[in-house]
Amino acid sequence: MATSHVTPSVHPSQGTCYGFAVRSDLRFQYLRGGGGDPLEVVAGSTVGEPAGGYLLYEWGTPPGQPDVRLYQHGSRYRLWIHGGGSYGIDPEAGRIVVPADEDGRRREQLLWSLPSAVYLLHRGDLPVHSAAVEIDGTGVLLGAPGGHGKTTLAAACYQAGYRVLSEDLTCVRLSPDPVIIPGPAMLRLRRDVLESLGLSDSSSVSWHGNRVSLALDRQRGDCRPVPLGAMVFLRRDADGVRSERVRAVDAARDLWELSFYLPSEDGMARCFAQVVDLARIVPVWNLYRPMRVDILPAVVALIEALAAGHDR
Amino acid sequence: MTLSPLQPGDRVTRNAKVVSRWLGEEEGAVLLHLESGQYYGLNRMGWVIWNLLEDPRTFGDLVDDVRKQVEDPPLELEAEVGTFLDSLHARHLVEIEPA
Repeated sequence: MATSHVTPSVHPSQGTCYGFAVRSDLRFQYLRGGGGDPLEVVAGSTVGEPAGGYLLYEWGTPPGQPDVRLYQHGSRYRLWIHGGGSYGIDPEAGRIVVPADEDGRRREQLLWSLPSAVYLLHRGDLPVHSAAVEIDGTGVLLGAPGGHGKTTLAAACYQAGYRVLSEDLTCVRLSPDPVIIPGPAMLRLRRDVLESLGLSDSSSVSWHGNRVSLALDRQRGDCRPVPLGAMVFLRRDADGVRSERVRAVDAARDLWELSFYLPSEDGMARCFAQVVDLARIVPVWNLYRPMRVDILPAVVALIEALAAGHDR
Repeated sequence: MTLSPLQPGDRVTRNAKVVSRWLGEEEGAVLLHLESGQYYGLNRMGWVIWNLLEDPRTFGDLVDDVRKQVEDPPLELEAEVGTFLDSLHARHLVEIEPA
């Protein structure tokens, strides 16, 4: 398999993310310690389609106005993100080519989103649109559609002393036992949430409108897998904080909605099998709560109980 | 899209675009239609029938095989299997070729 050409070079590992030891001349803000499988990240020209590539999928709102386009050429991919440039993903070569002309901070945030999800799929892992935290050695996945407070809850867990494993994209590996591979040490919060929580031990990296990107300076740890002990779907409810166990057949459906997969029959079938097995093995809970900052300590306490295997 | 009543010689085939997974005795199984993205649950009896359809077979043979796998099969077993197949067919999960 021919690979896209870049100038040969050698880089020290800067840190890890999703189990990759990142080697690059670029500057990163959200990496963790330790080692991992080498991933070379280089800046380059990623304009246009890869030679011979074909459009695999496109997402967009409204239809016909794509925000993201994914092209495939053999085992290589090119991901075009509206307003974010193109990312060349070459898992066989252990390399991601990022746009040279993008703002470095935003580029890193984009790198650890969809381009990484494509790479993780190729690696055989299950990328899930969720946050995740580590509570006393147990990984807890916090699943919800956008705008349902998963980042805010992850921030509240961080404030309570727990490690944030991922903010928006969680890498789940099923075999031999379900684990979470930690992602970027990052949180993106609204200004009012940041001020309400008063987060300490974190560095403000950049502002985008009303949102701040924080590099988490405490408990970054490394990318060693964390056992996945509970999955929690966040639900809105005005009446208080409570949880209920979700049947696996329903959990699998919700998890499917939050999972990334390549839109091929093989890709969908593999993801489906992983999702169902995950829902069968790992306890899943619905967590109902008002969307208010003052209620967060009670929500964190409930997450602690669910991580410990207790229902409340 | 109802074909009932099915005839014993009608041939039933799983849609190749459907994948399935067993969850457990209490929860049954789930199906995913890869083209529509629709997701369905099957109870334990539905899973028995789905597994028997791993190879295409006639409705009559299928009912006979189900009868062998069920303790004290009810008199209306054939009608139950026919109704179940109709519901699978209406959701494009199986194909039915008339005799």
